[in-house]
Amino acid sequence: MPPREGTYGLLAEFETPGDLIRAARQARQDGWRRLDCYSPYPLEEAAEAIGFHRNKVPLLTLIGGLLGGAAMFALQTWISTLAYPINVGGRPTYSWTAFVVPTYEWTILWAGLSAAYGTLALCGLPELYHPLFNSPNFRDGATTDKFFLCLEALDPKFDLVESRAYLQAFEPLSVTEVEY
Amino acid sequence: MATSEVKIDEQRIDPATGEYRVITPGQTFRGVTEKITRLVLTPHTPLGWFAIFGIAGAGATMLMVAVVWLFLKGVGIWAISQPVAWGFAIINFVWWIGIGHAGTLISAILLLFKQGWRNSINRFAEAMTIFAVVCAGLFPLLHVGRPWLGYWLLPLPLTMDVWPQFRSPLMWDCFAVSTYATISVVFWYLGMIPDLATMRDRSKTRLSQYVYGMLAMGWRGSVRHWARYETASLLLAGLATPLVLSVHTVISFDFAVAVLPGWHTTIFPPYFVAGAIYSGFAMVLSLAIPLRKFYHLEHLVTLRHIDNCGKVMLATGFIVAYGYGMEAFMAWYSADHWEAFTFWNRAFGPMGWSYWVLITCNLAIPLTTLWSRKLRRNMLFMFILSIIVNTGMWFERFVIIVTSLSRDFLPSSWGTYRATKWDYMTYFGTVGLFVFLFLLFVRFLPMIPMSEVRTMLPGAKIKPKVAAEAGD
Amino acid sequence: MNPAANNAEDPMGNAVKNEKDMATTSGTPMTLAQVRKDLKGTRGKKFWRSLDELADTPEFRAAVEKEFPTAAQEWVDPVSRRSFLKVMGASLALAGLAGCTKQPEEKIYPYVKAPEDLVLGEPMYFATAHPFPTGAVPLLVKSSEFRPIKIDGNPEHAYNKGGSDPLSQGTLLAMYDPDRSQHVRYRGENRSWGEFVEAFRGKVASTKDGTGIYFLSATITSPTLARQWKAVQAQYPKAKLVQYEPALAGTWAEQGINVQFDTGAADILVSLDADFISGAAYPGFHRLVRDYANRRKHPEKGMNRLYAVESSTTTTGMKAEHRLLLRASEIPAFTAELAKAVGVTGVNPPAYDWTGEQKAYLAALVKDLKANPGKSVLMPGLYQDRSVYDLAMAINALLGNIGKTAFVSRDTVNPIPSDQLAGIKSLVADLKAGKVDWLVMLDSNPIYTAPADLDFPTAFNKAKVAVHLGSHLDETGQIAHWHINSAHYLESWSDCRAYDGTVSIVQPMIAPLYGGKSAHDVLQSLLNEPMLSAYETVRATWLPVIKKNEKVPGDVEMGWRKVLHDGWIEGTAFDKTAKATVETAFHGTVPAPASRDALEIIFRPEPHVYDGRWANVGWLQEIPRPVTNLSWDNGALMPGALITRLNVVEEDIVEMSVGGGKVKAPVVAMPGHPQNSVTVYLGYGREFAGRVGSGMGFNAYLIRNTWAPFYATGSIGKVPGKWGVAITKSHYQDHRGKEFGQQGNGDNSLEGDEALGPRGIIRYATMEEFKSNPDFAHEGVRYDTPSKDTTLFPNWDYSKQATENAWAMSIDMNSCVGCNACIASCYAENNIAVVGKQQARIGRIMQWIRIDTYFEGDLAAPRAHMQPMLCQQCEDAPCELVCPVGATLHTPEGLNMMVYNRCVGTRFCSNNCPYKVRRFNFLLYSDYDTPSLKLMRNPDVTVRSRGVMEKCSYCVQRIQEAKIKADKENRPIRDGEIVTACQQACPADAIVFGNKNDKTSRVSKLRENQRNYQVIADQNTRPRTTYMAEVLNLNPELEETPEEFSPAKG
Repeated sequence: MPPREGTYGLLAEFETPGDLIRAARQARQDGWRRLDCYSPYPLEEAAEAIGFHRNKVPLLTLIGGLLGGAAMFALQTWISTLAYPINVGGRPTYSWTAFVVPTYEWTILWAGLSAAYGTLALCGLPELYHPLFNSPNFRDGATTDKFFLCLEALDPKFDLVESRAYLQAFEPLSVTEVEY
Repeated sequence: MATSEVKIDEQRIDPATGEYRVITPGQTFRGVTEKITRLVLTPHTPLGWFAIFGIAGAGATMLMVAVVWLFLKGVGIWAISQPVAWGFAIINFVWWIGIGHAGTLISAILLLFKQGWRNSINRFAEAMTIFAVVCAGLFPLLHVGRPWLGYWLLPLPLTMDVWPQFRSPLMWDCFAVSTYATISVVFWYLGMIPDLATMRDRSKTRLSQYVYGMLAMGWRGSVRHWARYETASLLLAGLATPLVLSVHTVISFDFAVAVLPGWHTTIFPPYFVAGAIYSGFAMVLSLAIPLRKFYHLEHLVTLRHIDNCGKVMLATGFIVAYGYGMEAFMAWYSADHWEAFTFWNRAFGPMGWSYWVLITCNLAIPLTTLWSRKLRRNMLFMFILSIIVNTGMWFERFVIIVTSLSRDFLPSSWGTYRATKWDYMTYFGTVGLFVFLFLLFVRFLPMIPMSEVRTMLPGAKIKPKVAAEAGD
Repeated sequence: MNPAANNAEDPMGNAVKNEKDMATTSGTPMTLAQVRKDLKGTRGKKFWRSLDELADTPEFRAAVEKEFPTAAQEWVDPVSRRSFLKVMGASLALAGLAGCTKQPEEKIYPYVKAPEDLVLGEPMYFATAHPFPTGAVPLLVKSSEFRPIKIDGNPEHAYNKGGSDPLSQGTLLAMYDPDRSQHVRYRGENRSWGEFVEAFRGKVASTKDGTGIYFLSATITSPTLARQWKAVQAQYPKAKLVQYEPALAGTWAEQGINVQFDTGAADILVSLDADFISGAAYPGFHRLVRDYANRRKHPEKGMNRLYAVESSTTTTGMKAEHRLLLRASEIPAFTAELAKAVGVTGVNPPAYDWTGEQKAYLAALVKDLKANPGKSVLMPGLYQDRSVYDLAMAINALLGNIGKTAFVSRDTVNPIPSDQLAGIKSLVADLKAGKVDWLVMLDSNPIYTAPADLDFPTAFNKAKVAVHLGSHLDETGQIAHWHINSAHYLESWSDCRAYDGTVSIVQPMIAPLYGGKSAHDVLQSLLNEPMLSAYETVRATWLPVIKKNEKVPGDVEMGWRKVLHDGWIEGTAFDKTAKATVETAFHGTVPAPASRDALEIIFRPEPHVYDGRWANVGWLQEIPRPVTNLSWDNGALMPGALITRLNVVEEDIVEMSVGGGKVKAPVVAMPGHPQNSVTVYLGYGREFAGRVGSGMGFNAYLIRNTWAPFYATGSIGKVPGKWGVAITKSHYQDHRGKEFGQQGNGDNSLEGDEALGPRGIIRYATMEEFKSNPDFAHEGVRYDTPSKDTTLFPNWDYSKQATENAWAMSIDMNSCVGCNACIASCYAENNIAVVGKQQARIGRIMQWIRIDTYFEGDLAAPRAHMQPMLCQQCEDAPCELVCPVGATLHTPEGLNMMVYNRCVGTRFCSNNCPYKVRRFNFLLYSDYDTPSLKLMRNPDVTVRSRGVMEKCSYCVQRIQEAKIKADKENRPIRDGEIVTACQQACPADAIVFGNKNDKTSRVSKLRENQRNYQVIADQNTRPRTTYMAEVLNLNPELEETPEEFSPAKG
């Protein structure tokens, strides 16, 4: 996409996860919708605070697994009974007992791959450029020890001055404006 | 190691629980991060690293030479013959795969069991898995008579319209091992993404920022991403657990499905899996102990880890012991001559010595000493023990494969087996390759998962009130 | 400039180069000779490629059409063009400077159809015979595109009825031996045959009466050659002929004695050191074994009983119901005791303290013989004192066996009988006396084979001119002035007599590959028509006889045609009815046995390389010998006790000395070998045998002297060093029976105890047990056969409705004598690669069929059971199940197939084969380069490359051939129409192959027999190959194991 002009949003930096969560919950209650939190390690409370509950990864995994398994069993059956039916040591061509193992393996294989790629896809990764990376303190802290709350400009309530004041109310370490 | 340890010794025990601490107190997010990233980002590489890297590199080169000669001449350069048509190649294959298992186990099963202590060791344990699988994966390809046709084992629509034969355990292997490799890599890489992001942000040079940036795929720690990421990790763990159990089960089928006395037994699956975990944890120790020493990670990889590994080995060791016992018992109880003879031949036949090596290394030494807390905490002892156990496990496969084959149904075709220098070169070559890859890993990737360690730090504790509010 | 030169240097460029040369030379039409010159020096791949390029040049076609008019139309059809090119190419490659592979000019008559309508790719069969000093072996040779590719016995010949032996099988490879000498040479330089004849004829003529002209020949087997010799003698009365056959010199078989035994008519067979079962070394092997075996096929109808008194361990002794170990020197005395006990007059046996057990044996034997007058036969050993023969025949006479089971006649198999030891002695004397101007050696190698005490090599130098006619530049050829490369019997015309006297014409299958000459040509060159071909001389010998036989007088050509077609001349067999008088009294003296603590060394021809002539035949070298399973070596074969006494282990080196001679040899244990004696085989330790045989084993001729050609007392001692030998099967010496479950007493072989005991691999009963319980083969722990429904899966349908044919094989353990003929035949039929000593030593020998030998009881005096083991073609084959690529699978007719092209070489099938009959090409074993070997291969069988598993296929190529034939004629395949290679070769007819769905077929009848059993049946593999359990017709008066002695001591 072409680089957009203007402000991406306002970024508040917090020292502890607690402050972040409190701020996030408040912002949500105050009707903010286009906002996001960033933390150096998984912080479920924060996710819930900004109202993120639904998560499609398990479903994807299930579908992937079932498809993989079915595909493998079908493939084996087709090969052994139709495509290349040979007399192997007097065993029946359709010896399903022997087909179980590859089926099982492919179920896991495809479930696993769906889980991994599904997650990346849902997160929109890889996304090598993101406006947030423009803010130096984010780069320094977000993946190390700081906790960030970002109010995005796309939110109707967003106003550069008011929003900044609003964030200041949470006593963050700093509030910075993030350019695209 | 002594001096540095004595200083922190009193801090090691958590007064509250009396348990060993997983991480010594006084660690901060930034402190930990710095400590771990520095190992990688520092421009200066320790001389010791180069020394070992050189040796390992030589090993890998030796492997290459052996393989080239193998492809030129054929598998005849090995000791395999009639009736012992499988030798070192398959032994090493099973051995390496087995070693791999501990990694998956630590990262997956312990994750499911919410064993926090696993966090600081699971990354390199997984790396170990992957490199072990790489080494293992070489052998099935090398050991076939016509390696250039190996792809015939895959169900590909080839022009001849001829397809693989799915009743063969080797086909099952083909799928089990490839799946295992893939899932391990995916799991490992996914788990590393946040840390790669950290690396990206901490690195000073343009190049490393570039590389880690690419690898991190633009991870920025959004809690939404974290949520999905967590689910995915759990799911993968949930998948990897049955997978890791199935892989060695399938490998045990290579033998259990055959009619050969000494192979044809139902106890193999559990007994192989236990053995795998046994040797796997041994290998974890062989790696962890030197690592924490050379990189001064005593704070992160604490005695608690070593201790727990010891306990796991004790447990799995006993399962293995049960397996041996059962074999002996069934040999007698089944009243089946083939079984009885095979067992007798293992212990007292021409190759009986290998059986006793295995008993000594796998049962006699570990299962008597691992009881002692004191020994479990003695780094030097645990290191030596881990080597012993892996030797023992190698001989277990030797006994199963070679000894059983050497004397089977028809006495007229009994034979023997004497390994050639090419066998040894290939085997030790893979050891070299393994260490080689592992050293590259510790040099260029974060060997301890920072994001997971952070969750265990005091700083990560959210005030109960907040947490409660979060609940609604 | 010579293109060959560039070919050699610059393989890439030679394509272009050749074309250019062709273009330039196109003015003058090119000839094949020229092509050969061009191709000379190019080998292997390069050769074939440049040949292909050649093939497309018009000049080449012109040339080919000139020499092969019939082949002209081949060029139209690409396929036959290719197969024709093969022949052409090979011939060019081979020919060196000589002619190329085509039929001999003379008319030779094929077995089934005349040669003019040759269809490429379709084999033809010719009858001929293998001239062997102990009697000719009538053969039927399969020839493909004029290349003999398989040798088998002549099925219609009364003597061997299709049976053959390893040696005859091996002669095929001997003919294609790439190391054969290719030129006539004088002092190392190539000369022409003409030049030799000129020199030779001139010299001899100059002597007027032939003074100083000596011929040293191998035993003359050809009546025609004898006739030619008489002619030579008539012309040059002073010329001398000495025959020397190292393996037979001094035996009664060489001394104008001709006796035929009939093992079929005898109930009691007594072998007095007569090894008539091991191989063709004993006269009449094929017939004796066949008749012997026939009497054992139906125990319910009664069986013969074989007593073997022997001085070395041989298959004869191993098959015998009762075997007595005697040291070689004791046997004459024992025979004398026997003769005396039976009542032969004039015998006074030397005093000797026989052990109780020996006395008991004697008593029982005498009783048995007296109880069966006229129904017994005593066979004297070849390698024994003459008295043994005389005594044995006297006993035969006394018991009224003469004319019933033993026939003596005046005329002999070999036309010129003589005392060969005396002969060679006199020759050496004359040499030393300088009387010898020209020494002409016909197909013999005296430098290597002459007895040590004669010191032949020094005497040899006294000859003014030495001429050597031989197939190789061997020890003699190296130093002889003239060397003439001899033609193989498949390349030249001759004739010979079988055991029963029947004359066979040896007709060539192929023009001499290297333009070799035969003894006929050499002698003929002295006569009036020096260039008269062997063909003419042979015809001249027999046309009169044939004329007599002809019903329609006059049409001799018809008769000649018939003779060649059938492979023998009617009415030439010895007259059996003519009662030659055999005295019942004995006149000679009997030598006293050597003292018990003197060490005896026994000399025997090697079972496979015989006297050394086949040292360069890879098959014969590699195929493990009977009893010892030793390959690629001969050894000091000694009993366990001696091993202990010498304080050595196997593969240690001992030095043996007899008289002045000394020789070092590896120690090899020989179960059931008499105490204090060592068997050494002749024929090894060749220096100039060729790439295969040179330097293998040790030369036993060095301690063999004219005064003790068969056995001598000598000394033996350990010397430092190790000598690795290749023993191809699990070695009974390594494992002793005490080990497992305390069965056996430590003196037994563990293999034997296991196989006969709990594993039920070998099942046998004595006559009494069999009579009381005919079903013995199915009663025992592991003896039951699981029923068809012991499976979770539905059984595959092989019923008559499902498939017309269901192939199966039955092997009669009772008649198998372990002679290895089947193995050699399999090697030839299936292009099996020879792997060499080192590979064989580590267990990579490729044989598809092997003969497992299990020793029962005390290894000092065991009973052996020989079991041919080949792919069992299991219906529920474990090997197939585990192949990931389906490279081994089942045909609807129940064959377990190996698809070489599909095999990736995981070797899992081999691991999972309970019978371990699969063989893997661990390295590239097949020789893809040597042109002569390409010619020899069976075109219907793939040559396997590296990394591929292979195994017995029931000779599927033969099955297919028969099926196609049957289809063409629109009929079912007849029983016995398909004969597997092993079955065809078996002299004992122990192997039967056929269709088990055809209830009337031989094989299904045998499978219904109660003695029929499956090996390792309890694994439920359902083998298609089954075995007939042994029945031993023991003499109740004798216990099982004779000697009380423990080889655990050694």
